[in-house]
Amino acid sequence: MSFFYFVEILNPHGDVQARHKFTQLPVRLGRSYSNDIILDDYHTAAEHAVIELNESNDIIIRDLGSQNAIKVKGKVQPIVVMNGDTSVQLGHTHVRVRDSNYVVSDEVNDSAHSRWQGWPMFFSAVLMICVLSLTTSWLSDIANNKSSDYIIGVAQWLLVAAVWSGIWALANRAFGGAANFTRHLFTFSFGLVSLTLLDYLCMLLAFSFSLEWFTQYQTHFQLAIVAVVIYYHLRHINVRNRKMFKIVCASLAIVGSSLKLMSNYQATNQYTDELYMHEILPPSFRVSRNHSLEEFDKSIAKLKTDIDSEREKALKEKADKNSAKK
Amino acid sequence: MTFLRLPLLLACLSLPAFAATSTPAIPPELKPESNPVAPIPPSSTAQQLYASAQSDLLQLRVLLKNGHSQSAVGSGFLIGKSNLVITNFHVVSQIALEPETYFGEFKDTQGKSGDIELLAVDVQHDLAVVRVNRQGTGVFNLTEVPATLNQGEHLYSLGNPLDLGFTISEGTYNGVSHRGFSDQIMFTGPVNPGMSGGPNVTASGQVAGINVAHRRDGELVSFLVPATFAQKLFSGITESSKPPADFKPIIGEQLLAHQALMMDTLLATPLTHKNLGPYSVPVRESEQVRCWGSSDTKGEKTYNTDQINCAMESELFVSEDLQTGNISMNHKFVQTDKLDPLRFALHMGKFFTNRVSGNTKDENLTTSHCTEEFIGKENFSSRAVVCVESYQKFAGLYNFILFTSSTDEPRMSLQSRLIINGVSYENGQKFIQQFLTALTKIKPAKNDPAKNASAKEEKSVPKVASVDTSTNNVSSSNNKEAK
Repeated sequence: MSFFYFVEILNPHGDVQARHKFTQLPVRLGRSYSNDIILDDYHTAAEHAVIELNESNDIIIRDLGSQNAIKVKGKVQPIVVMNGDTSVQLGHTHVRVRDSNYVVSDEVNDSAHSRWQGWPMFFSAVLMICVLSLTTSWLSDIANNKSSDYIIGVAQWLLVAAVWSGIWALANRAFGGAANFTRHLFTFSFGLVSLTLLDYLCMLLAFSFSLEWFTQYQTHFQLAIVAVVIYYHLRHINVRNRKMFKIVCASLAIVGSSLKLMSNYQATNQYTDELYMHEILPPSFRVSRNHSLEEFDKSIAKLKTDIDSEREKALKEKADKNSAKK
Repeated sequence: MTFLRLPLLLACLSLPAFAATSTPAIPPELKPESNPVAPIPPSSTAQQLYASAQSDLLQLRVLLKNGHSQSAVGSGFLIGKSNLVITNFHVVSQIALEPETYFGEFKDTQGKSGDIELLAVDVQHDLAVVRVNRQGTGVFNLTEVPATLNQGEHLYSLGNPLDLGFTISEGTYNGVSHRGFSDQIMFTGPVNPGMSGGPNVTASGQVAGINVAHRRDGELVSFLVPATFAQKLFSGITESSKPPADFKPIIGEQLLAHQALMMDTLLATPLTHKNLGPYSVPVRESEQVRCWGSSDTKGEKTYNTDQINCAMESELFVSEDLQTGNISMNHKFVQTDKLDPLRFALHMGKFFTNRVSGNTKDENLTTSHCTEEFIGKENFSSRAVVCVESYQKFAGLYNFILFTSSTDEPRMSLQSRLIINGVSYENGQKFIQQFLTALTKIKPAKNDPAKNASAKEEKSVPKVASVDTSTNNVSSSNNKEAK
C-alpha cells in the first residue's frame, strides 16, 4: 500500500476547500509559480512556507521568512508540528496536513431512517399540526361550531410551521449543504405537539392531584421543550458539534428560566407564574381528596405570617430607600 | 380605579376634578368675593345668613411644599370665638399622611390668607380640626344637643365650590341616611367639589352638619356629617392643644375601630340565603349592603348565566388612592345543556383567571399572598382561593379576597367571590369562614335547566342606574370572545 501526504486548504469554519495529494515531502507553499501548492492569497509571500519532516520524523511546517509568518490560533510560530488536527494560518489561508496513517473519527450514527424520510415524514408532520389545531380549536369552541373557524385555525398553524421550518431550512442550506425542510418541519410539529400535551398534562396533574405547582412553574417545562426543539434543529444543520449544541441549548433554557423567575419576583415578590391556579376541569377528573373547611381555615391562618413578613419587608425596603436618599 | 367604584363624590376639590373645570388659574385677587353666584336664587334668609357667616367662613387649601401649587381645595369654618376650624378629613388627608410633602393654607372671604395646623382627625366621620392664626366671631357654634330638624326644613350650605368663590346654597333636610356605618344627613341641595368641610346651617343659623359628599348618579342628593360628631371631636381639643407628631397611628387605630364596628354589624345576624340552581348562596342584605341581580340567557349562547351582586355603598376615604372599609360579594351561576363537561370546565377556568395580581409597586398595599385548596363538604365541593394583602401604612389592617368555583357538577358552575377591604385578620378570616360554611347545595342536581328558574327571582329587583360598576365588569367578561 502506498503512502500519501494530504495538504488540505480549509475555509475559516474548518471545511476542506481543496485537497492536494503528495507521495513525498517537502512540499513548498506560496504565491509564486515555483511552489508545489500555489496560494491565491495576497497576504502570503511568494515563497511562504515549506512542509517537511524533522529528525524525529514528524511532519512540520516551517516559515521561509514571510512577512505575515505562520500563525496557530493567532500566535506567530516559525515552526509548527502538524499532527493531523493542527490547522495553521498562512496569510488568510488555513492549512492542515494529514498522512495515510491518520485515524478518522467514528462513523456518525445515521439516526434518520431513510425509508421514513421524504413524503411519509412530511405527511406525518402536517397531520400532527392538523390534529393539534383541530383539537385546540374544538376545546376552545364554546359558541356554535363553525367549520370556517377550524379551517382558518389549521391554515394559520400550517403557515407558522412553514415559515419556521423554512427559516431553519434556509440556514441548513447555507451552513449544512442540504435544506432538510422535511426534517425541520417534523421537528417543529413534534415540538408543538409536546408543548400542547405538556400544557394539558400540567393542568391535569394540578387539577386531579392538587399539585398546583405544575401550573405555577409551567413556563420552565415549556422552556425545556423549546430548548430540545432548537437542539434538534441545530443538529440537522451540523452533525459534528452535537456536544456544543447541547451545552448551548441547555444554557439557553437555564438563562430563560432564570429570567422568568426574576421577572415573576419583580412583579409579585413570588417566583410562581401566577399567584394561584386558575385552570378548572370537569369534576370527574378529580382524584385526590377534598379538604375540609377547617383545614382551609388553618391554611388561611397560616397565610398571616406570610403577609406580615411581606409587610415588614416592604417597610424595610422603604426605610432603606429613604435613608439612601438622605 | 377604586375611586370610581362608589357613586359618592366627596365634595373636596382635588387635582383631577380641578383639571376638568375650565378655569384652573384664577388669580386670587380676581375672585368674586362680595357677590357670590349661588345656583339657586337666594332667599332673603340666605342673604342674611351669608352676611353674618362670611366672617367665619374659610377656604382651605393643601399645597405642595415643593412649588406651592395646590393639590386639594375645600372649605372650613371657625368655631365660636376660637381659632379652631372644622373641616373634612378628606380635605386635609394629605397633610395628615404626608406632612413632609404637603402643607395647608386658609383664605377668608376678604382674601386674607394664613397657615393652618392640623390638630385632630376623625377618619370614620370624615372630620378634622385645624388651627389658624385668627379668631372666629362666634357665628358658628357646636352645641351638645343637636338642632332638631324636620323633613322638608330649609338648610343652607356654605363653601367655595370649584374654587370659584364663596357661595351659599339652599336646600332641604330629608332625614338621615344609614347606608354607611355612621349616619349622614341627606340634604337635597347642591354640594359641589370644593364645598367639603363647609358648614350647613338652619334658617336660624344653627350648625346642622358639615358638607361632605354628593351622589354622582343623582340630582342634588347630597350628604352632611351631623354636627354632633364634629362636636364630639371638637370637645377633646383646646385652642392650645399640641398636634400629634404622626397621624398615621391615630388613623390606623380609627380604621381598626371602624372595621370592628362594621364587621360586628355585618356579622350580627346570620347571612341570608338565595338559591342559584341547585346551590344555596349566602348574601348580606342590610341597610349598608345592597344586592342586585342580573341574568344572561341570550339564545345564541351555549350557556346561561345568573348573577347576584352585593356591595356596600360606602367606604372610608383615607387618601386619593386608598379607600377602605368596604365589602362586596358576587355569585355567578352558569349552566349549559349544549356544551360537553370538558369544554364547559375549561371555559369556566377562563372566568377564574386574573382575579388577583400581585403588585410590588403599590405605595399603600403589599403584594398579595394566596392559599388555595379543593374543599368538600357533604354533597358540595369547590375550589377555593384566598388572597390577602396588608396595608403598609397601617398595621393590623388587611384586604381579603375569596373566590370559589364549584367542582361537583359537570354542566353547572357556581363561582362566588367575596371581597373584604380594610379589616383585621381575625375578622376577615371569620367572615370567609361564615361565607364558605353558608355555600351549600340544596338538592342533588337534575340536569334540567327548567327547574332552576328560582335563580331568576333576583331579576325582578329594579336595577337603578349603574350603581355598582363592578356589576358591569363581571358581565362584560361574560360577553366572551367567540373564537
